[in-house]
Amino acid sequence: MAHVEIQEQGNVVRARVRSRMDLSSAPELLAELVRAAGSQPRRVELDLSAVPYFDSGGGAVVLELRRHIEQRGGELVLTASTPAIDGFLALLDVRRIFQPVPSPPPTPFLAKIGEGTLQVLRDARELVAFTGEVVLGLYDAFRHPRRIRWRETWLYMERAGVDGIPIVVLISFLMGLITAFQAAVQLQQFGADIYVADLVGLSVTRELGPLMTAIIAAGRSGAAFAAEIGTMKVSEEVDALTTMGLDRTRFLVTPKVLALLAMLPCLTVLADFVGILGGLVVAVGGMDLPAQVYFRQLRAAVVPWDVLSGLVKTLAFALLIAGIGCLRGFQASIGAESVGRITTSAIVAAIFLIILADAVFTVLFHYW
Amino acid sequence: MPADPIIEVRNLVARYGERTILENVSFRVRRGERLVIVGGSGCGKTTLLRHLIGLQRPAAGEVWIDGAEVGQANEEELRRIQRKFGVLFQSGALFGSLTLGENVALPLEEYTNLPRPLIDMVVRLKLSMVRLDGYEEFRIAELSGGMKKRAGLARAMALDPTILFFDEPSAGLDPITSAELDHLILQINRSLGTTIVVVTHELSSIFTIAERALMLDGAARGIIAEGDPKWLRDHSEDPRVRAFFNRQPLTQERSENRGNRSA
Repeated sequence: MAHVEIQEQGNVVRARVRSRMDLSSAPELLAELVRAAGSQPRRVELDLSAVPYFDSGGGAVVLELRRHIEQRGGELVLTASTPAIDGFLALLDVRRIFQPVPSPPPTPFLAKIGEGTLQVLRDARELVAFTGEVVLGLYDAFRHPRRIRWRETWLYMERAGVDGIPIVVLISFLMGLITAFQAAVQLQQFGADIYVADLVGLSVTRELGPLMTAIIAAGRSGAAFAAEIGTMKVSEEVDALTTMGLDRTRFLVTPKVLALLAMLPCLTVLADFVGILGGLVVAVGGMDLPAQVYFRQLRAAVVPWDVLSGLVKTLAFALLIAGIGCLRGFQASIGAESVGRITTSAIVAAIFLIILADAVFTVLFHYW
Repeated sequence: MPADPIIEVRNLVARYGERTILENVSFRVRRGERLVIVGGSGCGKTTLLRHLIGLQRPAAGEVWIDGAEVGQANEEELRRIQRKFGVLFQSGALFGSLTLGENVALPLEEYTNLPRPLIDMVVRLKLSMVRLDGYEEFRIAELSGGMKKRAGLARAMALDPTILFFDEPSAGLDPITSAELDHLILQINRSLGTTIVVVTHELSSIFTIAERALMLDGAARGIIAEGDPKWLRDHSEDPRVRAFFNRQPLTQERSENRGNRSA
């Protein structure tokens, strides 16, 4: 409850505030004082000597009131206050408070387009340079295997490979199961039940196995690589590495790329195997095909090249996932927010590139 | 109600797992006092601060802030206690996704029902107090180290706290900027009567700010000295305390002896 005593004398309003002036009473108090000041240009004399407590809520009321009165050509005068209020006001530079907030001038539309284009070009240039860096790093690792940071490589192999087994197994089993189930419904109409083995075998080894494994790896490892390098960049660890004369590619990129190159094919083989098992479950459980028949048909349908072509693709996927993860990591700027942004971008870019590469491979293998 | 000591710590024990950092630490802070908690690296002063502001619960003992116990408080009580104080973290801890003005406005939007123009005015007031008015629209990444500290202080003061805690206010600042910050802390204390608790090992800040210093020691796991820092510097019996406040190596006497012997 605000207590304000108001006296009016001609063109002068005397307001004496007797209540606390704090953040919670500010809106009510301001409304009352504004009402007392009225809409005519008048001189308002504010007496704060009876205010028991004053904080920035009170400060905001006084300044807002002053702005309101001066807009109408009036004048606000502080006739009396307390030592606490004087102390509070002494901390402020009241003149500057009333200056408008400077805001940066808006960028013209054309400049925005130009900036965007330049940004795209810069990104492309960075991508080319980074690809070169990775290739050189791998070449160097190939020529001098002893210079590879093996300890880190083992660690990433464990994280990207072994730790990923449960989710890869679960997803590829379900993919095999779903494929077989969808196929069963169609095939049974023609009495062609036996071809469920062909369908599952080919689609899993050629496409589903490599693709699903790569997408899982993009979400797990690609994101982890980006976030890790991004955080190192933010906390200046990458700069420390550079100023120590150490090669950031050899320390940070090569172990990750090698680990994923080694583990992604392994995970894919596992995914192929489990996916086919998923198909088997449907064949045996839902279509009354004996397991031996399923496998015999599978052996006839799937040739080694089917599995191998899937694994070749996987190597390309591994390079893309690890490469884009590391590249985005190095693109982190300042602060926690940018790490979140680059991690998202690493996953999205990796998945896009995986699908793109898969399309290229499909065409390539077809005309081979 | 014990209104006068605004902070009271009774027999505080702090542990990280098996490791005991602080043992039976007790002290009081008067309302409106400027207390500095000092000590070498790893002596537990940051741990003590984290207990005072409720980020860590004591293994034993009590922490009272303005008549409420922090150690046993449930989430809701703790939040209510935490509204009475502001904390300036070492790096400023400003939210990088918001502008400077939005950082300061955040506690006001969450904890008060002020209309927008009044919030803007309070934000302006706070930024004016730390000499950052006019920088509302700036992104945090665009601010220098000293500006981030002052901006963090403005946010800490947004709700007019009765206590302000500072963790290493001068860390990473140049001498002029850190002296200005010290001066600002003094001004706030004198003008608003805010109780000030500073954790630091910066000697110049200690002598400027402190009315009273508490010195912690890692090996002793507690307070080894208490009093006016200037007096401690000149008159303390304890060689560790004298060495700290005179900025001398503690091993100096020993190495001098060794030098004499070999001569």
